[in-house]
Order: sequence, then C-alpha cells, then structure tokens
Amino acid sequence: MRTPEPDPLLPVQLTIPADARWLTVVRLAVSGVASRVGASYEDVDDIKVAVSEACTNAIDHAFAGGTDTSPTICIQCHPGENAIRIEVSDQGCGFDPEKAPVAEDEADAEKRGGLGLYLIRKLMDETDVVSRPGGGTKVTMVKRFAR
Amino acid sequence: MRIERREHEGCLTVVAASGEVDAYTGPELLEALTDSLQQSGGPTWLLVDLTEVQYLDSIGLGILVQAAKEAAEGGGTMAVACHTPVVLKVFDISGTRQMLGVRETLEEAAALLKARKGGSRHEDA
Repeated sequence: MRTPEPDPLLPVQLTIPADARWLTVVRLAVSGVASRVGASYEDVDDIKVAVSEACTNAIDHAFAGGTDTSPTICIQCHPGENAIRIEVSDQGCGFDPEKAPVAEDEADAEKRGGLGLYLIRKLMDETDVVSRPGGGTKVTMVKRFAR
Repeated sequence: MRIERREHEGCLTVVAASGEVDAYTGPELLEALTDSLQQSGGPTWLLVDLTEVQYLDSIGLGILVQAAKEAAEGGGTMAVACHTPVVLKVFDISGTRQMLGVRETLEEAAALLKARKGGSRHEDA
C-alpha cells in the first residue's frame, strides 16, 4: 500500500531568534519556498525584501525594553495555487496601529520613518498589520504570482 | 559583507561593498562611509560601489541617504554604482535613485561625480 503524498500546499514555518544576524536565513528560506511554488525571479525578490523588512521591524521595535530573554519571530509561508501568503508574527510589546506613523508616499516615509512598511506595501499585493499594545504583532502579506 | 576603501583616479573616494546590506551588516557600511567623509578633511567626492551587493533593505537605504546628505553638507557629493535588480527596485520604489546619483556601472557613477566636481570648480571660480 502506498503512503499518501503530503499536501504540497501545507504551510512552511520558520522560527528565528529576534536577532538581525538571522535575517539572511529568513531571506534564503522564503526565497526557496516561493521558488518552489512557482514564483518568478522578480516575485521572489519582492517577497524576500518584504519579509525581511517585516522581520527587521519586529527585531527593532517588538522587544524594546522587554523582559523576554529569548524573543523569537515566527515566519509562516502558506503556498497557494497562484499566490503565497506569508505571516510574520512576534509576541512582543505590540503597538496601537492608529498611533503608528503610516507613510503615504516615499518622501513621507523618509520623513516620518516606517520606510520598511512602505516598501512592504509597495512590493506585496496585500498587506495587513494586526497589533495591540502588549499583545504582539502579526504582519500578513500576500503576493499573487505574475504568470 | 565585505567592504573595501580605495581611491579612483586619485580624485574620488570609493567605498566598495559586497554581499548583503541589512540591519546586521549595515552598521559596517555606515562606519566606512562616515570614516571616508570625515577623513577627507574637505569636500568628499564619494563613490559607493554596490556592484557586488546582492541585497539592500531600508536600513541600507537610510545609511546611503544619510551619507549623501553629509557629503552635500561638506560641499561634495555622492554617487552609487549598482546593477542588481532587487536593489535598483528598492531605490525606485523609495524615490531615491536620482537623489543618490545611482548609475548602473562604476564608470558611469565616476563620470557623474567628475562632472559634478568640474561643475563645482567652475562655480567656485
């Protein structure tokens, strides 16, 4: 009797310490997953930058002044038929999205900060940020593949 | 990331990076650029060679913008040589390509700096 093949669209998950030295590993991993499910070179580049920026934001802001001695960031890739959804989440201090600076254009991004999130929104087809003070942050990004 | 500092034709200061510029490696690039700007003792014509850089994020972008502003404040200027598509896209999306003087080859970036240097001398005269 043959063993059933696993679902090729099962999520792929990576957890890293909240430390910038692991960013290159995140980029390698998400590039590999996106390539595996059919993303073009250009789409892979966009995904790589967006996910790395989301992780950088978490490293820079989520655990500032916190007491967690081993903070981590979780990256979940959910492959689809013609798209990939990626969630970057942390259990850090969170923030109030209504009070966070949201850049409207590139000049605004440079002036007010938040260039990372600005790049994410420009590179991905959908971006959603869910956060609350004390409750961590989850950035969900969707990239639909150009074919 | 590896960083090398050299002179180009005896008149331009070159900071050449290779590898990836992100939150982990960025401080090394910042230090090299800051040192180059401070050591010249006058206007610096700074050529940032990113032709061997495969990745640069918002942290790296911020470092380049800061260096370009400091070069301008000192009476000099900065240009960037880069042909990596993902990095060029970051420049384009952020609207910094022109401000940073980005050219796709080292020769084009050097020519831009020399032209600006010549223009500056002309203005000074």
